[in-house]
Amino acid sequence: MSENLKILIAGEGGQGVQTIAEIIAKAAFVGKLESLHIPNFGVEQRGGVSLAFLQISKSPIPYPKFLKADILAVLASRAVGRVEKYVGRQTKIINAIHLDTLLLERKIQTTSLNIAVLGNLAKFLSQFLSIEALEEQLHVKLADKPNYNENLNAFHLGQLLTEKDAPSHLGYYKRYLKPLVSQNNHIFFARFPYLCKGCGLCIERCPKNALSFSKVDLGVYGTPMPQVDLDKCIGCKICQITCPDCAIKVVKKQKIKKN
Amino acid sequence: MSEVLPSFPKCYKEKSWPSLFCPGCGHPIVLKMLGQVIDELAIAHKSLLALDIGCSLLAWDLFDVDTIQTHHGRTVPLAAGFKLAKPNGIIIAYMGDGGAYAIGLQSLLTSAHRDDKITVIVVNNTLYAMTGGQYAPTTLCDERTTTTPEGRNCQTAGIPFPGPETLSAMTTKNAYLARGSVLQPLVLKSYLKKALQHQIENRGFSFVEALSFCPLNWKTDAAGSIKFLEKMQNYFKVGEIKCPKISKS
Amino acid sequence: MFGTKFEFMMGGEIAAYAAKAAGAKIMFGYPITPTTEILETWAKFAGEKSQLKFVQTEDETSAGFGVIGAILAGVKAFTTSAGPGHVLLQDPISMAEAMRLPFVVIIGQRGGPSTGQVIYSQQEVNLACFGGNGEGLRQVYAPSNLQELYDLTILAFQNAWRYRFPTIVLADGYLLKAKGKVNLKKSRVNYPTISVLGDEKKIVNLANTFNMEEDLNAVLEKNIHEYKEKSKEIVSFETHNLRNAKELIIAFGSVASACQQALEMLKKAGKNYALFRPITLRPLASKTLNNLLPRFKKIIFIESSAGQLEKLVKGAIDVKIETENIRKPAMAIMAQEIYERLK
Repeated sequence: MSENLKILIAGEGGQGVQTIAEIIAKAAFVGKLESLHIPNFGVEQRGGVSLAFLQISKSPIPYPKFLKADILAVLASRAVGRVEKYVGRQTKIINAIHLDTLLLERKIQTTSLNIAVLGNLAKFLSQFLSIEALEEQLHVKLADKPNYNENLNAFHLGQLLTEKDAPSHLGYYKRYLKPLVSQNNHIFFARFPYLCKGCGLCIERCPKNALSFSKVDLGVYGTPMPQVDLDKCIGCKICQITCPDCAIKVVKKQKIKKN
Repeated sequence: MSEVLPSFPKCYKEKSWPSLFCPGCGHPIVLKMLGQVIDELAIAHKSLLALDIGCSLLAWDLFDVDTIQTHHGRTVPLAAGFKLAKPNGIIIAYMGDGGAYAIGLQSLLTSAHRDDKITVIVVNNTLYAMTGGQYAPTTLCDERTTTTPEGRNCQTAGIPFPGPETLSAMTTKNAYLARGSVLQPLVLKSYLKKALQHQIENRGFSFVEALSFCPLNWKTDAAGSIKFLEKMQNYFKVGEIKCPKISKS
Repeated sequence: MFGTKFEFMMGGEIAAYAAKAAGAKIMFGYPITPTTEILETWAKFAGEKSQLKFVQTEDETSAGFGVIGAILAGVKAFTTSAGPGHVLLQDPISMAEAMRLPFVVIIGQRGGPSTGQVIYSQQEVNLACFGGNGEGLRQVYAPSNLQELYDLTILAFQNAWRYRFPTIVLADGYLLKAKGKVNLKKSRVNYPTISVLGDEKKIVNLANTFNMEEDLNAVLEKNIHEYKEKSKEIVSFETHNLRNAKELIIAFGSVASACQQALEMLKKAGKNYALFRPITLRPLASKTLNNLLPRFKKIIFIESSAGQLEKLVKGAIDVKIETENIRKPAMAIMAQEIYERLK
């Protein structure tokens, strides 16, 4: 590895890409190394591509950006197109796009995906930083935030990831393209995972408490989607009207006329 | 059964969804209601959606309707210029509370005062959202923003800006002014529809303020966002502020 | 241009007649000396029964964005301003530069900085050529007499719509307030207008905000390349007495007229000077200048500013040559003064 380690972390805004870059940069600073982190993002707060350019070195770092990365971690499929040009022959790729399902299997919320990537990155930083140094900064940054224990679990899980979990190429497969339909004799209820951002407004607005977060279904950002209890649902459509992203469709089936 | 599709308004550009708005943002609720109104009035082909800078600009590719992004606060004069050049076009100026009531207030007042036949939609979430939650004229009393870290002091910094009420004082009786909320999307939709009908029939200036969620900067979950909006509604009264009677002659 | 129709008029009126002759339909503006007469003249054109429209806006920024709105709808529109108003106009002009819109503005330079004086200067060169947060992809025409004010204003409209870069007629207070003879020729060419938005048969989503450095850079590279290519067609200049002189005066606008007069006086006194007058300040005739300069041993810049023209020209030439200047920031420069200095 070079004297100046160039790391590019790429994901969607809101995934915590900058958070893990900050943790690494801070750990390097505390460890008396030179480090420089610069975020590179668009105008939107969420949903856009978010890149973190990060460098660690034993000598001063003159410029915040670089042409090719030594390590590239990708957290979201939408970021792939943005980072391909930073891949050189020496680039070690960590493709974490589909880690969310693995996390859910381990009962870890997908919001900790970035921390799992941090754990995995740690393996490649050993020339500069110890696991302990990173864990210390993880503590400084996140100990007073909710889900710290989950984040710690994600950090440890990340260190154990193999090539199979986080492949070293930029390929990805599309998923969640199909609607999820539930129905009974009265109600037809469709959910669209590729539109749902998991905001939970539908759950709060439901007058019959018929909606709750699913433990298995994930939306477009890998966050839990709502699911419906059809026995409680009255087909009032308030969830459909409220949903900012048109991710719910409710149809009240016509009642079978008596006589 | 045939393929199950989301219930997008017809005028939505489907390939652009999901939008880049944050999870739980109120903008796409306003836009969905606007989209349904555009469908119902069948005006997609002759409408121009002019977008201010701020989160509003994220709507630029969400509709199969002409759109343009302007500069911060400059959407109303651009919309007025377009309308003057194309009087049969339907012009919707869409902006946030910062663009409307701070940097663009002079132009908003002038356009309303001049009774320009355009429709202005202001999404009010009490702060500058795209830049990360700074104070806006609409910031509630004691509300903390990144530039009012101790909360807005209404004793020394004035009251949250009452948009449509202000316009009410200086518009003619031809103006349509209303304030809706994303908590009651269908009521909001009825205001948007009246405002656009107002423009279609060339009756006068039309204006709808929509009280809206900003969970990212409010740092709220869904329940918290709803609670915050209810607090907003205690101050910013929802309803029609000026609604001219239509004489059927 | 054809036909003759001589009138005795004030510069501000002439500019308004020129805009009308060029096919302008809407003017947005805010009163400011020395451009107010353009507004007043246009307001008379835009009566109740007229096809022409006039809006007196709340400020210059709003006037500029009104112009942009009308242009997007495919209508020739323009505005006019001076000094502090010109500063505000850089906001919409930047947008027009970014979106390649045929924005036309007539500027009457006045003394600055700040409110300065309302009479005259040549201090708005930097602003006209490079104001705004961009690369100065504009066409800037500098008339030097009343007839040129008329002719170049018409040309500005044609070339704005032909090349789609914001176009500035950089006049000054003397030109706009002076009354004199002008030939209000009819314009033969009328470059067709096209709408960007509002065509019912096609949907256009126009972004003015880019998410990544690469996206904006690609658009900029394309626009800069086109500007360079079109510059060959746009560039315009005038020369006098090149053959016999060893020293070259460079001046523009009203001052160039004084220089021309001084040239005659100097000639009679047996002194030969040449004059190079850029008619377009942006793009500047840099290629011509570079070819021309080796024949001279000195350039003399003469301007009513502390060197805005000199800086512009020096930035465009790659010939090493001795220079001298006559500078009177925000003050008139008379032929007699030039004669006294150079005789």
